[in-house]
Amino acid sequence: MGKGGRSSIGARPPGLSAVTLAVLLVVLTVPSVARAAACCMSASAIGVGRLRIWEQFAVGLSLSAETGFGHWDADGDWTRWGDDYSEQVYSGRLWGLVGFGRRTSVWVQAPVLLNHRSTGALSQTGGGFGDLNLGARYEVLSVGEIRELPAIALTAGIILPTGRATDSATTTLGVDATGRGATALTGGLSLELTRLPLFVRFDTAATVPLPTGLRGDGPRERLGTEVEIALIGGAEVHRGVVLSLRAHALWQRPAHRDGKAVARSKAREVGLTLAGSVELTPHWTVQASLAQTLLGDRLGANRTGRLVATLGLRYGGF
Amino acid sequence: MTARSLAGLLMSVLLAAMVVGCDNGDDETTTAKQLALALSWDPAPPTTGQNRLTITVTHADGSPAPGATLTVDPQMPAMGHGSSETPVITEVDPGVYEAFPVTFQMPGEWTLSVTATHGTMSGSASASLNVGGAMGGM
Repeated sequence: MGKGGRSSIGARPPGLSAVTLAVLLVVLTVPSVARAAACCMSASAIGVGRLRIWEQFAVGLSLSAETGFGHWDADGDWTRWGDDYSEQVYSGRLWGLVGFGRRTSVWVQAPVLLNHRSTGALSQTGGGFGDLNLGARYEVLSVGEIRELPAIALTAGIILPTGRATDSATTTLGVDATGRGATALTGGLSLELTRLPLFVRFDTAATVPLPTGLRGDGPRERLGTEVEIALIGGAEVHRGVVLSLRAHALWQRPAHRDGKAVARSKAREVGLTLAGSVELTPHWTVQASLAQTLLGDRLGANRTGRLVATLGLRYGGF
Repeated sequence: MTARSLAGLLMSVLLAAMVVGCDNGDDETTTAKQLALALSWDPAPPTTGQNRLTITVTHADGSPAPGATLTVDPQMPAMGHGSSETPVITEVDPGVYEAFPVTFQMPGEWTLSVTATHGTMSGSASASLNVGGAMGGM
């Protein structure tokens, strides 16, 4: 992948499958007509994703609309919201991904959020710039590099508290809150196995918020560490058209205040995401997804049950 | 390690993580250290947005405790934040105090801590609140 992708392909070890070789041949000779292939099917998933094997950079914009249905308490009891309350979040995310060498890429993602909440006679809308997300990806083993083994990638990143924390919100319903209010470190592992026209990917990631002071001189607080696992299966159902289904589970450990665990602050959720991408040209890809947390008792805790619809446009440069 | 044992280990980890995520807490507790606190809400139960909290403070013998100093602190534990507004507390009758607005800016589980001090006497109350759950069900 990345700028060094092409020169490194020829140095790959023997034993590559005919399919992989064919893909590589396409990449080497006619990248302008390259289509989704073993190396690339999951690359254009919603969000930053990763570079296709022939790309040097990619940029994208995704627009999301999210609506909530209810919430879980700390015991996992599900409560559906009534007609007296509604909550929507609209967001735009501009992102960029640049390759450095054969295996390394870095990304940045900048979100803008618009929140709307309505309860009884009170209805408020607010928003602003969200938390900036920076990260790097290192491919220990690229897709197809050794056919018998899954691709292995490591990610590391940082989330900067450039948004406004809920604790600093000034509106009654907190609609001007756009961030978590604390720097967080992220790390992840991704395994991906491809057998045309199918791929399967396992992702695991951790987000570790750093301690921060509440309202400046308030107690030191550290939000709970989040661990997420996700299993994604997908297929190229038509030339340049990839559909995938993602199942995820997320656990959040207790928050800590002045070094002590905060009671009833654990959280968890499970969800499904149906995603699709259509390659319009070798450079441009349209992406869409529908993500739904699974609703019901014990399927979550201290979380909102929600549906998120996302539409994205991706440009890959090579 | 075989694939079967690896799958078993993974399932065990997942189940353990889900069990660890379930813990119980108190709905409401009142700790009397010479002063006793009783809380009542308007609306009841409290909802997303602004709520009025009436706090009745009494001595151990049940007589009202006028002139006490109170604090009201709503927190959303999992989200790590408090309320978007600071309630103003006024004494509306001897030993009866009103806090407004007690604001829960979003639905979910909140905790409320109330303290009262009167000279050398003190008391506290805490409650776990499922805010925005008035309609219930799936």
